[in-house]
Amino acid sequence: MNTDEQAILAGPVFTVPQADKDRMLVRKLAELTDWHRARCAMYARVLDATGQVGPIRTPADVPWLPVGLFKSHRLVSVPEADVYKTMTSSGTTGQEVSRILLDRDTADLQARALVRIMTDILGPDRLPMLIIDTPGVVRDRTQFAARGAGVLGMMQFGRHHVYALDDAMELHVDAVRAFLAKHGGAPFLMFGFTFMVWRYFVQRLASEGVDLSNGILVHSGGWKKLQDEAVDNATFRARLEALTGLRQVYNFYGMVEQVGSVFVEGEDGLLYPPSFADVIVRDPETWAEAAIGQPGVIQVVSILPRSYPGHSILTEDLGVVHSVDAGVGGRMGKAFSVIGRAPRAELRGCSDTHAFGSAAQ
Amino acid sequence: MTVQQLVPVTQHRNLTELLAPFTTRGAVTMPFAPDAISLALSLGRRISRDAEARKQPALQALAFWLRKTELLRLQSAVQRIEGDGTVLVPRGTVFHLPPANVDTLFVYSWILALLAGNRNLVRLSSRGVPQASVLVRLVNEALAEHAGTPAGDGTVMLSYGHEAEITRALSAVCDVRVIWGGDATVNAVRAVPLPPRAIELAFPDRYSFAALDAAAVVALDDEALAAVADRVYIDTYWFDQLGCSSPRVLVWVGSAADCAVAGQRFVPALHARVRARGYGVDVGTALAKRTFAFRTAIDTDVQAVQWIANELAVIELAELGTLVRDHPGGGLLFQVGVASLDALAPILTSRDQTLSHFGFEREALVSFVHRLGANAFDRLVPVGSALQFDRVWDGFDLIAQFTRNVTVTGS
Repeated sequence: MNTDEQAILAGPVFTVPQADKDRMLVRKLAELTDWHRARCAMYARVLDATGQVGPIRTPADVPWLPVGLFKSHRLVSVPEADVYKTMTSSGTTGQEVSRILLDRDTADLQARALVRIMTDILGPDRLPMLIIDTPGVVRDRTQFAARGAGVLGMMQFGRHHVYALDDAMELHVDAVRAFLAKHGGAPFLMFGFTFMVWRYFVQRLASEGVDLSNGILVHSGGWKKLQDEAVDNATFRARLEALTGLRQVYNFYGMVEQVGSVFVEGEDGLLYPPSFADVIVRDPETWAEAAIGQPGVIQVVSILPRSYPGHSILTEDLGVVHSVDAGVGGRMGKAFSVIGRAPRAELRGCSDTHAFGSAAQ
Repeated sequence: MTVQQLVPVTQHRNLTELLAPFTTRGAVTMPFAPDAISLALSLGRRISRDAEARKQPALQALAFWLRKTELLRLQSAVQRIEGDGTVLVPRGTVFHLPPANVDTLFVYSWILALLAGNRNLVRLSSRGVPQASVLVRLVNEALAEHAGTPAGDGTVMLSYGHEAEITRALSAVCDVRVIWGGDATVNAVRAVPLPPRAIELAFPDRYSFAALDAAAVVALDDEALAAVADRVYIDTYWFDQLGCSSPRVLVWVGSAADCAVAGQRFVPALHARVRARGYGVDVGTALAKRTFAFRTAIDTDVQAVQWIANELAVIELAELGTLVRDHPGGGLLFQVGVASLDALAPILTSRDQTLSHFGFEREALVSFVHRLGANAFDRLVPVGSALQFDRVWDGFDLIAQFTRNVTVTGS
């Protein structure tokens, strides 16, 4: 069943021209739409009610679901007995979390996809790995479900793992120095969540004078928490280079809701979709595909989700496609950036509640 | 402890000092004292003359309510409440907790208590909105003009966050506590004790409908249709469709054929009014509405989701039975056709507040209310008046609640 996907996964990751990619996407995404419609009653109801039933001629014609639907509904396209793994999004207590249901086939595709992307960046060998997090993140899986899964997923690409932070989120300076003394002279891998790298690592390194010039930093998790501190990607990269000499920095954009959509930063700081996934930016008034350079709402598509109808998802993020087939380092396809969460003003209304009953805010 | 006072003047104040006058017996008058009426009229005049306030329809509606004829109507209502052998007196101190963001409601609540002769404590949301700050300025001007009179001196409005101890201190000196806005707010404030003889009025979450006679709408010419659509626009959009009285369901009453035609004519007419009035929502709100519509498509018996524009989505229901009363606000209407108003009855609950209507005779509505009995609707009003404030709200006559009937029997 997965031979098609496996062939695509085995091919080039970041060098497929957009026209070739679109042809493949239309075929695979239309096939997935039929697959899910036939197997997931909720998906079929949504498509019928919202009238997303027309012919699919371009990737933009593929029906989409709002990402929030995965928070409220258990969407699945395989028999319950085949559900092998449930992934949940990160979220603070009380917040709804997304539930993504994988069978063995889809979980396998997800693992292969991540391997393809990472080996493209890191090369075929496992590198010594510094984890910018606490050991507790994998020990206490109930508290850090999504973060723990992210760290565990990345650990397979490294060896000689060392945690840079202690349980109190303090920089473990001695451990970092020992790691660098042993491995700092050759390429090594670092992984962490963006806000943690900034808050608990970069900021603390200022006074330490460590050399990370052989490091490759992979980070993800989004910029929301750093927006408050007015830290953008350029600031982040510049600060790291100035403090530590680190230049190989790869931001990831993706979401637990879509298997296969791991968009990786190039040397120019823009994000590039892999061959098996893509972004479509939509004009937030007309909802038609936005022109290059025009910001809009990001839709993500991927050919990998088969066990649940998540092959085409409208996110709540704003972004912009900067170029097509003109990426840095020979990358083809779209180059895009994420602007941030779509603004939502608080609507007026007499139905509550500032202050009272919402003290958690 | 210090709090942020906004009225009579903006300043930080010690809470104990602020509350001192409210623990004495001063600044109380008989209902409809001349200086209270004068203050209300003065505020109304200031709102209708202020350049900034004139741009805001909700403020102009407030000014309209503060006209002399309206106040006289209120006064005559008091005389009726007084009834046989009783004399009406104020209750003392009224503590108002208006909703965070319905910018004008605090004035309605406050003015009614003021006209009844009470002293007033008003908690304003700490999140300032432009409409409120214009209003606060005009309220201060009107109060300054009446300084030295009981009406002019008996009001303090303040702003604070969720400090329960402030709510506790204000509650301890009040005779009436009025909580506007939301089940969660009502429950949280109810946990704060009141003096034994104080009373409480609570206005929790409500839900509202609009019912239009399909044949009557089909018979309208384009101009008249636009006028009806504009009234439904006002009811629906003024408070981003989050007012308790804002309709969330558009019910067509009539034959299936008339209901279908009426909907097909009306929805574009409403959209035209939304555009003409320049109403807009931001991207996040549009996305939240999308998510709500998709969820509803799964959970209820939806025939179609019509995404007319970001500002207007229509979810057509096959029948009312599966209606879910969550709502995202910002211009989303359920639409359903029924053979008669009575078809509403099985799904109505005490949470349902307003039925705004078009094309029905009063007698038909009265007999409908008789058949409904206890479990539905506090108001049935023509389209266009769903948000019009009235001294009778959610079944309470506020003037009656803000006063006490003293029995006086002669010898």
